[in-house]
Amino acid sequence: MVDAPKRPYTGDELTDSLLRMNAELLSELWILRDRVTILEHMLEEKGVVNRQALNDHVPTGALAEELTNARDDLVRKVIGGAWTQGFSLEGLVNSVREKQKA
Amino acid sequence: MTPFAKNKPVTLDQRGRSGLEILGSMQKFTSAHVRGKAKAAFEADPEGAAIVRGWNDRHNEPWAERIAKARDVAERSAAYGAERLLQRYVAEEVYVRGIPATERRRKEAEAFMQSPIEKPAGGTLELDPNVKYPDWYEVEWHLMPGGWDGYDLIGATMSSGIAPLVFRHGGYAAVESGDDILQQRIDVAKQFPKKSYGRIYEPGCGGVGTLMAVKKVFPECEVVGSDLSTRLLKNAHAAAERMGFKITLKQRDARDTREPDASFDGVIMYALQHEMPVDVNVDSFKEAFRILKPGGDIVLSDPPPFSAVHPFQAVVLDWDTDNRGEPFFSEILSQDWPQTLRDIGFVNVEAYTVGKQGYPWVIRGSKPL
Repeated sequence: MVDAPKRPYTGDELTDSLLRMNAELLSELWILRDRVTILEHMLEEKGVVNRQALNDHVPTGALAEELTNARDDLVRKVIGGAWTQGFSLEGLVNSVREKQKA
Repeated sequence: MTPFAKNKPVTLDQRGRSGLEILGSMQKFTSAHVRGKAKAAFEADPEGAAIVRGWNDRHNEPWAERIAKARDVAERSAAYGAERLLQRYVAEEVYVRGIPATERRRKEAEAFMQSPIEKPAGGTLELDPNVKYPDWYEVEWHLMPGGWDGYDLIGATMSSGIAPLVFRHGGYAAVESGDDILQQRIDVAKQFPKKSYGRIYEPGCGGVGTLMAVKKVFPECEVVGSDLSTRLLKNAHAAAERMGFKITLKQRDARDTREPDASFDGVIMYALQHEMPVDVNVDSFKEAFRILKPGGDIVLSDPPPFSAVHPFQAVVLDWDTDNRGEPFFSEILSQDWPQTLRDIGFVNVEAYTVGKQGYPWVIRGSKPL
C-alpha cells in the first residue's frame, strides 16, 4: 500500500486539496480534448457526421446511462481525489476488472 | 524502427495515453517554470542568500540540519509548495493511471510477452531459486505499488506508457526538465577512461538501459548484469533479446556477485547507490574491487551530493526521501563517496558532473596495477 501524502505541501490542507482538484480537472479536460479532436478529425475524414449533428443529438437509453456513470466517476475523481487515502496494486487492478465484469 | 520501438508491448487506449501525456506536460512545466520561481524566491530571501553564501563552510553542521534551515526558507514560497504538491501528484498518478491503462490491455501485453523473438540476441538469464531479499529491499520504490516485483505487467506499463510519455520529459528527482535520460546513460558509459573494454559488470542493472548504453559505447565488450528482482531481470532479458543486445543476466546481491576474483575490466553502477543503505553501498564497492582486474575501472553515477549543489536543489533532492519512495536518498547524498573508494583501495578517484545542475554526477576510479 502506497500511503497518502503525510502533510500539506502548500502549508494548509485546503490549498492542497484545491490544487489536487485542479490537477484532476486539468487531466480530465485534456483527455477529453484529445479525444474530441481525434473524433472530429476521424468523423470529418470519413464524412459521417458534421458538427451540427453533434450539437443536435440528445442522449437516451444506454448512451444516457453511460454518460451518467462517466459523470459520476468524474465527480468522484475530481472531488474525491483531494482526499485520496493511498492506493494499492490490488485496488488499481481490481478497478479495471470490476468495470470489465460489469 | 528504433530499437526501443521493438520493445513496446501495447498501444494504450486513448484515455491511458492522453492521461499519461498530460502528466508529462504538467511535470515538464512545473519543474522548469514554477520551480524556477521558487528558486528565485529562495535567493531573494536574505536568509536564503546567506545560506547560499555559506553552504559549504559549515563543516561541523550535519547535512540534515543545513537542509532543514534551507527548507524553512524554501517553504516560505507559494511556488515551492505548489511545485512539490504537483511533483507528488504526478509521482502517484503515473501508477494510478498507468497500471489500470495496462490492465485494460492485458491480453495484448500477455500476447506480446509470449510471442517468439525473431532474432534473439543470444544473451542468458540465470535466476536464483534461493535468492534472499534483504530487509531494506522491501520498499514500494518511487511509489510503485507492490514494489519491483508486484505487478506482473509493470514492464509494459513502463515501456509503453510511463517512460515514453512522462519520464522522457525529465523534471523529476535529480533529472532536470528537458534532460534526455537515454543520452545521459550513454554520456556516463563514456566516462570509462579507456578506448576499449573486454568485460564490464553492472550490479543492480534493473531494466538494462545502462548495459545497452555500454554496448553502444563499447560494441565489442561482453556485458554482465545482476539484480535482486526476478521481475526486472525477466523483463530486462526479454527486452535485450528483442532489441538485439546480448547480455548475460544473473540474480545476485551486489555484495556477493559470485564472480571470480579479477575477472572484469570495468564495473558500472547507475542510479543504484541511492536504492541501498550506506553500509550496503560500501560492501558493494568492496565486491566491485574484488572482481575488477588490476588496472580495471569503476564508474558510478547517481544524483549529486548535497555539497555539490545549490542549497535550493539540495532541498528538492532531500524531499524525495520522504515523498517519493526513496528512503536512502538523503543518507547517500550526505556521504563522501570518493573518500570511501580511496579507503577501499581505488586510485585516481575523481568526482564531477557531465550534465546540468550536477546531474548526472560521476565518480570514477581504478584498481591499482
